Amino acid sequence: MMGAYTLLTLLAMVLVVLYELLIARTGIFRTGSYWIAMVIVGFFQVLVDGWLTKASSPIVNYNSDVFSGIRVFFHSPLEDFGFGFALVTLTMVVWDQLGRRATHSVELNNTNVIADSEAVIESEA
Amino acid sequence: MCSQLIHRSGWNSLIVDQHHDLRGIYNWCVDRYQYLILMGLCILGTLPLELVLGARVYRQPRRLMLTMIVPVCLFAVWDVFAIAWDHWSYTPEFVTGWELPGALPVEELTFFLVIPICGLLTLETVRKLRGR
Repeated sequence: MMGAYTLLTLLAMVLVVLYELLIARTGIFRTGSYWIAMVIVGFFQVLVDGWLTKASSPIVNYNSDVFSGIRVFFHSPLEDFGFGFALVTLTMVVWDQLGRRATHSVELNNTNVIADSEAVIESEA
Repeated sequence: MCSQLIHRSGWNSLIVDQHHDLRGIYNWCVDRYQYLILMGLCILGTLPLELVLGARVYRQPRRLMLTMIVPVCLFAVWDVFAIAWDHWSYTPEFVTGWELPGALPVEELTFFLVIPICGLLTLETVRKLRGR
């Protein structure tokens, strides 16, 4: 069964993946560290999301008309894991985008420093 | 004897009332902060990744703040619509009731800050331990 939350979750996942592959191109999906981190994040999502959705006294209540009806682990809607994937992956991609720019400028600065030090050595010689 | 009985029953009802009040006070003090406490535990639990393992996420505050603008804004908008369209709701007992524009509980904004930061700390720690 596809509800509105199911569709929005799939849309968010596709948009985040496309953003990385077509626009950001950080290459994060080709790194083992990303997938290892996502497994760890996924494990803790089971616990934290589980506390929010547990059947005995849920903090968040889902409208059964808008999601698949599939509950996993501690009564979490399956869609929540797609939501988490999109949220965390998007953050990591943007983080890497900004970091790449910073690393690039540091490299440029280092090049300048090296060039300056070589000029100093030359002038001393 | 009669006064003793009255006294005793009075005392009993006082105990019952007190128990009831304590329960009420407990609910007021703890339950309404459940969601926020959970978020606080996530921040505390991941703090060693920065302080002990050297994830270097909080130590790049400008990069972190710029990064967070994207997920916080996008997911807060999604949340506002999801609440308006009745996709999900929050149990009043377990939230503070402090709401931002669009009926967005302050807890949700906290969630969109805390969870991605935990993700970044995890990623950077894994990278550091694997030597990038």
